[in-house]
Amino acid sequence: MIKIAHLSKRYHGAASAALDDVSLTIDRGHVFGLLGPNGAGKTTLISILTGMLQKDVGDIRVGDLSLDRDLPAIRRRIGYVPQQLAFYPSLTAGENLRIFSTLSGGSGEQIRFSVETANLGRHLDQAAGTLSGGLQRRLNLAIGLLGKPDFLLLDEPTVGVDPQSRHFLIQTIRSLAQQGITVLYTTHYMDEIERACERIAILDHGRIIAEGPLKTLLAQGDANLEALFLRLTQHGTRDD
Amino acid sequence: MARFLALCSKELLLLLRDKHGLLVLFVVPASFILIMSLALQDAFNPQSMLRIHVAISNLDGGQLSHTLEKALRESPGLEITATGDAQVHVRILKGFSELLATRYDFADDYIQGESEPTLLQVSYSPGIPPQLKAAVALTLRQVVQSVQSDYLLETVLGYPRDKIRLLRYVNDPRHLPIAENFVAQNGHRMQAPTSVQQNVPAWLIFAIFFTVIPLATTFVIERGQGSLLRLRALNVTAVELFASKALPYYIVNMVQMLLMLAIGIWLVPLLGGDRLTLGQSPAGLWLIGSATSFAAISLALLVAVVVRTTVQATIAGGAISLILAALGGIMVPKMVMPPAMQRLTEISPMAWSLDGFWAIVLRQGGWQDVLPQAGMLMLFGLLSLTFAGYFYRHHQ
Repeated sequence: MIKIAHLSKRYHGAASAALDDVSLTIDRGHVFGLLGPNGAGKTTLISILTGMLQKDVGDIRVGDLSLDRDLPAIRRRIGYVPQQLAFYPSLTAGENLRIFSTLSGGSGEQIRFSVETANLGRHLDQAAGTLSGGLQRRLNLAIGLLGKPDFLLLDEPTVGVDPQSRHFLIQTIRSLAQQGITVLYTTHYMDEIERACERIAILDHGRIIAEGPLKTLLAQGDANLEALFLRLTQHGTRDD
Repeated sequence: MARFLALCSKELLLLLRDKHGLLVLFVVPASFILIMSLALQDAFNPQSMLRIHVAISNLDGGQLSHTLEKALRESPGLEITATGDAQVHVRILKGFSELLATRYDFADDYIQGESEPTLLQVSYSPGIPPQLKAAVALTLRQVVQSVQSDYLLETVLGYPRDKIRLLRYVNDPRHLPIAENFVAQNGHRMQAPTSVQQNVPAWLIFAIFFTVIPLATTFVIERGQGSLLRLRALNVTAVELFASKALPYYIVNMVQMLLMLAIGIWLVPLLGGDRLTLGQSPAGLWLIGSATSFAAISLALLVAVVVRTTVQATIAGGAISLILAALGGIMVPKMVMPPAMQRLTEISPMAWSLDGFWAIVLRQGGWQDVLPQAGMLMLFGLLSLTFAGYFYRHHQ
């Protein structure tokens, strides 16, 4: 379980808080969808969870560990899949997996688990930069799985891939949750959230504006998740 | 330890697959060593420095003009050549022989301020260095004076020829009994410095400092594509990260050193250049090479954490290396710089390193003799590393 309580963060010189009194609970073995417009605070939340960013106030517990006291141990139990393709394009997929596996304290068994889960077996000798977009996303996920983590943080893991690869990735994530892995999933694709997540939270301007089981939130009269999202976050674009 | 080795092997693999990086680190400096050692070979050879190509036009045709022409041909500093190839064109003007033979008759007039008629007209090509121009002028004056004094002694004063030969011998500066040699730091006599001994250490140092470009570029790419983020999420600390980059590049720098020294020892002589002599202290070479590597890698890490794009990394890395090289006597030997510029070289770590290498290969010193230069380089490296660490934490 991941438990976040009263988490706040304001960047130096910023007019408003990036995260403002955010509280969330993500149950073990569930896929939790975190939605929000650009700049809502999703990446800030994930950066704090991975210890990349310092929080101002609040309490975060990952399993039985406290982020304040046990960051190195938490990092060992978390698999992080950033939005970027965070591997070395000039190395082969196999070399990337071996290097990151050693860094994760993993073993050959865990490399096999990652390769099988992401179905990369036929591409291990190929330079990572020459893989197709879908395979690169699968490699990105496979590296995140190397330490056989209990918790998986996925930051828009399906950006720029075709429907087949998206389908594969979502199925894989559901399967991982069924194996007991707790997943925090951020994306802009509403259909992915509907297919993958049991519970969601919508983050806007650093605050949680809706949170609960997906079915409960959709029962408020909106036609679908996108309609609910636009009703709560307004229609205006956020990048202007 | 396994984590550190994994990071190091990652860095080595990235470098081995970076063709441009390898080109910059190995092929470019090796080419510079070959080109510059051969091109500057004559500049370091006092004999060949004075081989000036001179064309002679004898418009006089008299006996003394022929004697002068013969004396110029025999002059060791001059190479008589066709007009088109000449750096200096000497015209023996009409009336030369008669004027030289009778010049003493008019000595009183000349002393009282009458202007003397011109004997020779000397034209210099615009590209001739001032030192060579002065050397040619001196040689011409000596040869003309010698021809004239021989004529006066023999014809006017009636000296016998064998006496004149003796006089000529003792007056020739080349026959003065002066012993010249180069003395090493330890007091032992050593060989004259050659172009290869200037250029091999110089371009080796340049190559080591060019580490800045591939190291900084790789770092920027890692940061841009999120690998650095992932490494941090895997508990990789700044110390681990920096050390795992430093060790592979240190190995690369040592390979560069061995390769460049080998080129100086074996390849340059095959192409007609001088052979590099290494001195007597492998430990001293290793020490100054290692200190240079540490300074260069630390500077590379500083550049890496400060710049934001690969273009910035390439431009900043290249510009810093070129400026330090130009200042440090790498591109232009310090010995040919004016005194003010020679003092300015002392601000460049490349100059400290070059001085350290020369302490071994030129001055035949031991490892103790490079301690001051190695110390300065280590200090420079530590300062760069401190700033790199500060900026890394600050930017992240």
